[in-house]
This record gives sequence, structure tokens and C-alpha cells, in this order.
Amino acid sequence: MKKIILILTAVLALAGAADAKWWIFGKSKDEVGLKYLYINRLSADETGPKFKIFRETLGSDGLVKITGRASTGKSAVGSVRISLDNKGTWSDVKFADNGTFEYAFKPETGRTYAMLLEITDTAGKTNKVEETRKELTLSEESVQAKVKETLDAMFDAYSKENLARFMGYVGENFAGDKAILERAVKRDFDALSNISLRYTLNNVASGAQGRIFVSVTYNRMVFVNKTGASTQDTGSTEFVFDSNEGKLSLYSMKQPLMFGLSDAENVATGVVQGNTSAALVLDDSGNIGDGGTLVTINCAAGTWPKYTFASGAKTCSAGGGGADIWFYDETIPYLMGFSANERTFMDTLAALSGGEVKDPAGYAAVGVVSDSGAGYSYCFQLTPDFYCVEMVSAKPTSTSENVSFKVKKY
Amino acid sequence: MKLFAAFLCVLSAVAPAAAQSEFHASNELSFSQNDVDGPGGAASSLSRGFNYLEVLNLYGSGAKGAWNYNYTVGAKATDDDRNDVKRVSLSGLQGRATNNTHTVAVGDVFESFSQYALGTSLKGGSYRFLKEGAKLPEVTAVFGWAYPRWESVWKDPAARTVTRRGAGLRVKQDLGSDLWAGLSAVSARDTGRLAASDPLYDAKNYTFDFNYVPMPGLTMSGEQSLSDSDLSPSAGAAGSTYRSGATRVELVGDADPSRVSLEYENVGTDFYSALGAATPDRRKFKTKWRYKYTKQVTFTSGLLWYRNNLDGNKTAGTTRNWKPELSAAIKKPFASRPDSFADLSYKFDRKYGGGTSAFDHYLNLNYRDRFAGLDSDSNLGYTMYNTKTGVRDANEVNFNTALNSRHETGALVLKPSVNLGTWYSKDELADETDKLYEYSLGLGVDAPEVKLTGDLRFGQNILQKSAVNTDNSAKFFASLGAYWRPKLLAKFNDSTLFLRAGFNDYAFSTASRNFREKSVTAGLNVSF
Repeated sequence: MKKIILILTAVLALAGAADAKWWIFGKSKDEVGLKYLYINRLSADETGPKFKIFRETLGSDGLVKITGRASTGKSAVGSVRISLDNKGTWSDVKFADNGTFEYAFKPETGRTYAMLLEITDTAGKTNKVEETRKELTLSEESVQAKVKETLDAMFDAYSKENLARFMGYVGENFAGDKAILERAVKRDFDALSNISLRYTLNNVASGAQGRIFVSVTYNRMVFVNKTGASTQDTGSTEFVFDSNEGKLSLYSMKQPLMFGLSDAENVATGVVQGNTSAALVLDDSGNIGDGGTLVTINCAAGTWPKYTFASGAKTCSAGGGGADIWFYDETIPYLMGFSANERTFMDTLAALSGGEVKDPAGYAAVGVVSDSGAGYSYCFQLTPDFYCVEMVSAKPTSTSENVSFKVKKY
Repeated sequence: MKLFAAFLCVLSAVAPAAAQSEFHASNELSFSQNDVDGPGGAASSLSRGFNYLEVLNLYGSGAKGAWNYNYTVGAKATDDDRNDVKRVSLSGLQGRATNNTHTVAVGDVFESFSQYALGTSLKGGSYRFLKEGAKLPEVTAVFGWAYPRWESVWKDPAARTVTRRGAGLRVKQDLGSDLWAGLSAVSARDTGRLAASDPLYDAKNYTFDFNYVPMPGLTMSGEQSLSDSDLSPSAGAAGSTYRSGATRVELVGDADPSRVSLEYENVGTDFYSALGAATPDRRKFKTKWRYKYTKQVTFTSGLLWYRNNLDGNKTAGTTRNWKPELSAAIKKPFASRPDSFADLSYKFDRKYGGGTSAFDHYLNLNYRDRFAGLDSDSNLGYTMYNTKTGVRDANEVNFNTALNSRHETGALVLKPSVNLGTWYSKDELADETDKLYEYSLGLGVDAPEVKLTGDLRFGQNILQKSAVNTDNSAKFFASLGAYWRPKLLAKFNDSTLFLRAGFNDYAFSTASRNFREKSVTAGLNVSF
């Protein structure tokens, strides 16, 4: 930690004191040019050559404001001029002694302004005007329409598992970290298939800084490759987008997450209030997370794996009893014995709600249940608690009896 | 339908009144008929039956004396619970007025202070003082409720949430022409627990942030935030107080041919930002270098490192992550192929500690080209998940290719396409194999003279698993989309009649899971 701080301090000190050609790779401090340029408070460095502005993100005065600072090295700034019609006409821009300048104009909807800036120092040297070219357009679209277009495109790319196209909608300054999100989405794609996402907009709010807040109601169905079973969930979630270059880029997401379920802890920056069901997440093995704790019991041939819920005790012995549940070794699918009322659900643990599990109707003292396969859960009523089991694997061999299952207390 | 008629009345009433200023509206009304059948129909995410969805957005602006104003209003109506639990809801409401020094906003106010301080929309009001050209600081004050939707404000039972009242004040000052600094204070207070297990926070954040441009192309920015939060974890439980801090510093050097960024972040374990964006318990260092070696070749390299357990209290220990990456994007890798483009990337994830140890490798090759009028985009990926804790040891290969072409025949433009994909996963731990095959055929049709576009697509996804007690599955799908802009609607910008239809047939090894979905949606989108 101390080393990192020292390195950063050294970098900061050197950057402020030297020409620092090591990072600008040849760009001289004495060149005539722009030290910085902002268009409606957005750094021009962060935008591409085309800059689309939405009505809702303009100030109430409806003006596009261009601010910047001319850089002329040892000379003084002689003039700053701006063209909005591809060098057809030029307007003088007032500037301060230190080179800072500001220019504002009221854009017309749908018209494209080919903006160029010309900086001239007192010796007559000018900047590379073409490098300042930006095409500004006041979009005819509403910000709501743009949000919908962007979310549609993101949901489509995610559903089609097109990582490059999806990441094209994520901003470089994504709050959870873009690299972490990219790995998490890649893992999502390896873990899920047949992704079906639908949403409607609940609330869209745009701010003067060009950021856009979006709240949606979603419903989703996915196939989990690990089990082959489907799962679905619904709820509401929130996104924040940055607006530049005529497109929206994702800045942050909250839980429940739509994307990056494989590393929810690092991708999400907050939790949306008001959701009653558990957020869908994926664990390290590609299974639906929050779906209980993995339990593995390995026993010698001729003995049966046994498990006690409250204590988590794992034992092996011949015959039934002596635990809450035990596993026979006859054939696959395994037969499970138990000492409490049982109810079978055609759902994974992650998808099962507490309300469903704790409804005593449907529980019966069946005694033995056979494993129905992937996506089923077996719940046991051990008053006052309920425990549910989801089978992961059962591998009896001539020398061992091994079972893996997930267990969750409700 | 009554709602739609009401919205049209509102449109017709408002438009003339605002004619002297600026007024825009967009309205989309659609009707859907969904059918789901089969024993596993409960797994479908579609609502059965006939439903409608109506979305209206209004925007207006004008001037009165020295003040300019604008407003936005959005509303949604639906009878489909999966679209919204509310039949009618307000999706946006905002009014702003400014005289170029003072700006007042009410309704949905979204003031972004800084990442850790405030980045959430509030329903309330805000005021900003900014006098251009003066040396006075920019001052922003905001107050409101952090509800995800308007229905929560009036405690609608279907949209009730914990009440989170937020307030914030920010002072930002230019310190010279190249440096600005800001101070923010934000508070959030939760009340009105709905369930006994709802956590309630009373949190305050005090944040300093800055931006400095020491020379052309180099930008330094960062922030330091302190959080002071009281947490009541559940009804009747003893509360706790947490104080922690978060720091973020970033340097970006951007000048052709390079862009270099360095980033450091340290967010304390107990740091809490109710209205900002933060990932607690993370120390992160990141660097990225993009270098345009030639006009054709760009290299990108990066390294991300982060860890948790900053307070050392995690019983499982500390988890550390290293994520280096390297990629090369090459235009015209083959001189004889002017449209060729290749992108090769390698990423590595190393995660260890906290009861886990993993080495994951990601290798990806993307190649795009154009062969005799056929555009191709192919992607080949190899991933190796390797853990030492028996979680996942798998080798995965995925391949996708898309072929598209365009043919003009008279007044029609035909755009046939083929997509093929496969994914293969070999799980070494379980000694099991999963295979996924996908194909789809599509035909896009454009008739520019009659302003009609359409797309027809069908295909199949097949998942085959070797593990017992798991399900193989197959999904056959077909979809149709048609969009028409008739002359009648020409005076409205982007007004479109649309029809969308879809059919999905899901088949599993467990026949009781099988189901089919049929969906038809027709609608009209009007904007002016």
C-alpha cells in the first residue's frame, strides 16, 4: 500500500514538474493547441468525432457551451476562433490572458454543426485545426427514446451473447470497473443460454452533467447450462448512463443486476430498494447463486451418506435413520430417505421463495423420494424451520458412495 | 383504450399552447397477444392473454422574461403485470428554470456530485448557483426522496419501499484555470421499515473531489470521501455505527498515439454510500495503455489488481485478484484484403486466498472480412477455468460466425444472413461434457419507397449434457418484425407502425418441462 502511494506521489510530482514526454509520446508542451476542451461540461477527450446532444441534457437556457483553454507554450495567445459550419465562417471567441475561453450558441434540432477551433499565438503560429473537429448535433430523439434504444441494444447483445457488442455500451469509467464487468459477463455467457430479458421503463431522469438515471421493471428467464434447467425472476433495478458521442454508455448498475451476475459483489454499486425476491447471481462454478450451501459426502461402498440439517453433521452408516436425510445406493437417480414431512418443488433453491417453502400445505410424510433430476428441490418441515435440498450429483461406484447437494434453510 | 384517448386529449390540448415555444411529444401504444402452452408453461416469462402497453413522453421549453424553462413528463399504462405492477404510472416528471445564474429544478432531479457522494436521482428539488465568468463558487443544493419510481412517493401498496430521504450540498470552485475542487456533504435517512428484516440507514458522506489538467492531454482527478453511517439491521436489533473512507485517484494521459491511464482506489470495508456508487471493501490498482503502433495496428495492454478484507476481519481470509490483459487490433492484416480486420486478445485471471485459488485464461480471436459481397464476422474463443479448490476445472471453446449480404432487386433491398455458433465445455472435475449448438437464418427486407422494413428469422439452440440427472434442451424459435412509416405519418418524425411476432418451442429431456410461447405485438409509435 505504502509503495503504491509513493509511486503515485512520484508520478504526480514528476507530471507537474516536467515535460513528461514519457506519457504523451512526443507531444511538445510548446505546441500551439488546446490544453483542454469541454462541450457542455463533458471533456472532448472522452468523446469521439461526433457529439450528439439530447434536449433534456441541455441547460434550461438551451445553449451548447464550449469552454477550453488555449495552449501556446512560451508565446501568448493571439486569437481564438470557432467555426460551426466546417470552416465556412469563423467567429472570434473572447479569451482571458491565461488562454481560457468560452463560447455558447443555441443549436437547432436536427442540424449538424461541424465545429473547428483555431488557436493562434502572437507569433502567428496556429494549431492543427483539423484535430479539433467535432460534429455536434441536437438530437431529434427524446432521451427516453435513446435510453430505450440503448437498453434494447444491450439486452439484445447480452441475449445473443455477443461480448464485444455488449461492452461497446459500457463506459470506460464504469463505477464497478469495466474490466471486472467484462470478465463477469463472459462468465455469464458460459453459464447461461437462451437468455430472455424484457423490461419497461419506470423512471428516467437526466441531469445537467449529461448523466441519465434509469429505473426499469424487468422479467427474465435463463437456462442454466450446469443443470439444463430454466429459472426466472422479476423485479426492478436501476442504471446510470453517461451521454456522449451521441450514445449512452453504462456508468453504474445496482442489485438486482441485469448483467455481470457472475461477480455481483464487484460489479454492483448499491442495492435497489423495494425488491422482495432474492437477486439472481451466479457462483464460481456457474450455478445460480444464493441457492444454498454445497455439501459433499463421500462414503465407503455399503454405507449410506447421511446429513443432519441443524448441525450440518455428515455421517456414513448402513441402513436408514440417525439423521434428517440419508441417501440409498440402489440406482441412479438416487432415492432419498428422510425423517420429516417433505414436499417437492419443480424449482431451484435460488428460485424458491420463503413464502412457497413455508406454506405447510402440500407437505406429507412420504418417507422416500426419488431424485427427479435437475431443477427440482426437496423441502423438509423440521418445525419451526424448513430446509430444502437440491441435488448436484450422486456417484455410487463399487468402492464408494458420493453425493453432492445444496442445502438452504428457510 | 380510455387511457389512450385521454393521452391524445392531453397532447392536443398542450401542443397549441406551447406552439410559440418548443414542444415535442412521443407516444407508443402497443397491443400484445401471448399464448403459452405445455406442461412447463409456468417457466415462461410471458404473460398469457391480451395486453396493452402505452408509453407517453412530453418535452417542452420556453422563456418568460429573463428565465428559460423546460419540462418533461412521462407516463406509462399497461394491464400486464410483467410490464408493471401498476396499471398507470408516472415515469418521469421534471421542470427546470434558469436565468443563467440561478437554476431551479423540481420533480426528478438528478445532480451528480461525484462517484462516492451522489449519483442517484431524487424526487424533490434542486438549486444551483453558477455565475459564468465570476470567481464565485458553483453551489448546488438538492433535497428529495430516493425512490425508484413515483408511485413509491405516494405510498402505493404495489410500489412501497423503505423511505429514503436524501439531501446534499456541493460547493465547487475553480482554483486557477486548470484546477477545480469540490466539497460535498450528502445525507440519507431511512424510515418506514416494511418488513422486520429491512435494514435502515442513517448515513452521511463528506467528499472532496478535484480535477487538474497540468499540461495538454494529461488529466488528474480523484476524490476522498468519509462515511458515517448508523445501521439498524432489523426491527428490534441493536444498531451499529460505522465510519470509513474511500479514495480514488486517476491519471489519464491522452495524446496520439497513446492513451495511458493509472487508477488507484481504496474503499473501506465499512464505507457506505447510500446515494453514490461504491464497492466497499476493495483496494484496486489499474493501469491501461493503448498504443497506436501504426495506422493499422493498435496495441492495448492493461493490468488490474484488487483485494478485499481491508480490515482483516474476514474469517475466510483475503482474496486477491490479478487480471492482466493484452490485445492487438489489426486493420488489413492481409494486404490483399482491404476490408479485413482482426482482433486478438488474451486475458488472465488469477484469484487466490479466502479459500480459493483459480487461474483462468481467456483467449479470443475476432476476424471480419468481406468476400464477394458477403460480410463475415467470426469469433473463436478459448477459456480455461482452473481452480485448486474443486470449484471448476473446465476447458471451453466457443465459435460464432455471422454471414450477411445485401442485394437490391428493383424497389426492394434484401439482406439475408446466417448465424452459426457452438460452445463446448469439458468439466474435468465432474468428467462431464456440455455442448451447445446454435444456428439461425434471417432475411431482412427494406422497401425504401414505401418506407417499410422487415426482418424474419428462425433458428434453433440445442444444449446437450452428458451428466445424469440434468436436462438436455432444445429451443426452436422464429421471429418476425415489420416497421412501416406511412405517408400519413410523414409530418411526425420517426412515427412508425410496427408488428412483431415470435414463436419459441422449448423441449427438455424431462417432458414435463416442455412449453411453447406464441406472441404477437402490434403498435404505433408517434413523435413530433
